[in-house]
Amino acid sequence: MDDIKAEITVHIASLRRYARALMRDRSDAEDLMQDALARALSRSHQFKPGTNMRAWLFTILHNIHVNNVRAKVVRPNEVPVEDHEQRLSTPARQDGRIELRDMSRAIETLPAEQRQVLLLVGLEGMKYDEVATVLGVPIGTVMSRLSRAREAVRNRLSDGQAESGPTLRRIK
Amino acid sequence: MTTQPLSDDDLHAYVDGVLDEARRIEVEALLARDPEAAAKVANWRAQALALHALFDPVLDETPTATMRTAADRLTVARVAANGDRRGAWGGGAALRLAAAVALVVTGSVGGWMGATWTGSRTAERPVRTAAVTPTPGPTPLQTFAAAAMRAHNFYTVDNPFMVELGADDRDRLDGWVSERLGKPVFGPSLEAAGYQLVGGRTLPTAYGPGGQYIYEDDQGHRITLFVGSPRSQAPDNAVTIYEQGDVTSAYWVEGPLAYALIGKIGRDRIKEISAKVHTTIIEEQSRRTQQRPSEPRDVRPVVQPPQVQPPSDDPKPKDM
Repeated sequence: MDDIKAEITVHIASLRRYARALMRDRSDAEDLMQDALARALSRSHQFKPGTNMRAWLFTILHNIHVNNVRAKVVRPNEVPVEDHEQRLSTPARQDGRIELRDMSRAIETLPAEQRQVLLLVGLEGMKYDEVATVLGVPIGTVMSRLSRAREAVRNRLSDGQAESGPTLRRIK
Repeated sequence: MTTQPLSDDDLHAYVDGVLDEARRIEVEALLARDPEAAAKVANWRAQALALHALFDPVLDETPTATMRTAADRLTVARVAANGDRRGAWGGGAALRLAAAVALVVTGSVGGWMGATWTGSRTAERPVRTAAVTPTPGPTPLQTFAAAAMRAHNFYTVDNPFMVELGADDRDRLDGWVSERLGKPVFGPSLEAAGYQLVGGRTLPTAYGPGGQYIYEDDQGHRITLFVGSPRSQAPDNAVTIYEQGDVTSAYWVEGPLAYALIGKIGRDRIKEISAKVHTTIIEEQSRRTQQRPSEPRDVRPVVQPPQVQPPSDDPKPKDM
């Protein structure tokens, strides 16, 4: 049973990571994650054998997020970039401050639908069909959003590159 | 052989490691002739890396009370739903726990990463307990070793897949691999054993990026050293020999990293070279901690060489 708990703990940590990347604002992200966990707990008795726990958790979080956005008609990306960069300036690695900042800005400009797919695939490592389940859309939609998201970010990064030098060349 | 042209779906699937192996090989060959597509792929990969660099630190934040409660109660719910069919805990419990953690870290496994564990294994010094404990699935270390073997076979059979980064700029190569793994890594010199470092690449594995260093002897025979860092790793310094056909692998764990040395050579020779790798790593690590950062030639810094530092008007130190 300990191994199951370890696995679920990882799912929950990655749920937090996804919420943070999606919301950008730390406290909004924490609220979203806490709401999702509370709902998951209230429904845990419905948990069916063989259910993919990760997809189940992410689906709950996604639905809450969608409802919140609808209810509040929020402007989801209104966190000033500078606030976010305060945190980014403690880099996990010794490089790439500029490049991470560019990436951060690039995903910020994406429509929420594209950002979700980009994060679920690129950050959470989900398979396309799992993403389709979580978002409740056909897999073809997942692929087209992924494609648009990746190209939009690429274009944006190359715009930034023109201004500030070859920031991405280093990674690959 | 007719080859389907490259589609964008191919490129995404390639970046995300979900192509089957046959198509993956085709896609790599096509990419070699299609600089535009290769640029896309490189950029998309870099995007994923940047996302991880930006947001992985969240994983290390202290769990809130709600998160801990949720972990407990969802565990109970899942056990109630699925039943714990795993049977009694044996001596391999820690390894199985590690396997569970490692296997969920990334969901997508494909291409050469979808390695199954088929090799026979022999416990070497010291005797590893895991070898005698039946486990329901491969341990992370076994998964790692199988991935290393697949990567070796994949990239040394033919030469069309040239090394992604040559050994001519070792700092850059090491820096690149280190960055992908998030830990300082370097390709040890194996000249004393008769092998020259040719270059290296990084590859996705079931638990995160792995680095492959490629060495060649004067007859062009290649051996590879695969380095990975499974997220959860039981400390295990035992060297295990793993044979598949005439290819032999020695793998072990060294601190936060796991290593696999692979080549079409006998087990005695692979053990001999792996001992050399081991001592070189130890020496290099101690040298590095003593002298850095004043000796750029001997010490391989993890940082990128200066010319690729992003231009910045901000004098803030970049160290962690």
